[in-house]
Amino acid sequence: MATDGTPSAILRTQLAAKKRRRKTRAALPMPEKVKLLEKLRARNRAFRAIRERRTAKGLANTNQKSLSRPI
Amino acid sequence: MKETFEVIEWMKRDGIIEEYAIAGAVGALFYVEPVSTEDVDILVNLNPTQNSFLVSFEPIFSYLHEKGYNNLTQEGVEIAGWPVQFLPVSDSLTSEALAEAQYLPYDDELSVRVVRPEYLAAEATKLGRLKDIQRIGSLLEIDEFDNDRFRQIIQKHDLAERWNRVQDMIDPESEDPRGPTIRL
Repeated sequence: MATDGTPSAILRTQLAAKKRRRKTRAALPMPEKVKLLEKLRARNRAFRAIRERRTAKGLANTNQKSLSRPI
Repeated sequence: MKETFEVIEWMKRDGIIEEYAIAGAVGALFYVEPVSTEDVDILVNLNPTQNSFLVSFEPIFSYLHEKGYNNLTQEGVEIAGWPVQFLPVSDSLTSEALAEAQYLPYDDELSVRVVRPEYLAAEATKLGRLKDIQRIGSLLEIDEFDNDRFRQIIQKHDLAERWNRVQDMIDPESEDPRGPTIRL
């Protein structure tokens, strides 16, 4: 979509594209949506497991590699 | 998830629950794009136990136990890999949401009762957490969302003040094309 190149026009175009993507995903059949939901759930669980392991080690949720090397 | 829904339907057919409707993020999934959730919220009208005015979850858990669903997690009782939370109707809004729910197809073989989008948005308005506000934004975008019906629900259940606050967070009359602005 052509824009006049101003930041607000670019933002509007991006938001409109996001809205189109949301509508496309919303129109999927339920079994397809459930598959996507299961992927999201698996990803969140993996992130949570990493966070919990890091917390258990006393590390911050950053790239901190060890307790002897603070952030 | 299909098996989860089938079990809920059996519970209704077998008289364990009087009526049900899928609510929360999974209810919203029938209308909008998927958003991560850990459980399935089921709004239920429980049959009062014999000789008592009190409702009890005991028949639900016994029924599920008999069917082999014994795993209780933090989020609820696990049915076919999904923790299910049974939420008994607790106020006029949830009672109306349950009464007005509609059957929607999951696939060609199964239809399930789902809370209407206007009630999902009203419940989210009431709760007002970040994820609820995000859900309202998505629900407002869909074609079948009835603005007039939503306005009536908000006014009937004294949620106008909350809605005005939420609305300012969703779309403060900006050019953001996330949906219609509903002024009360």
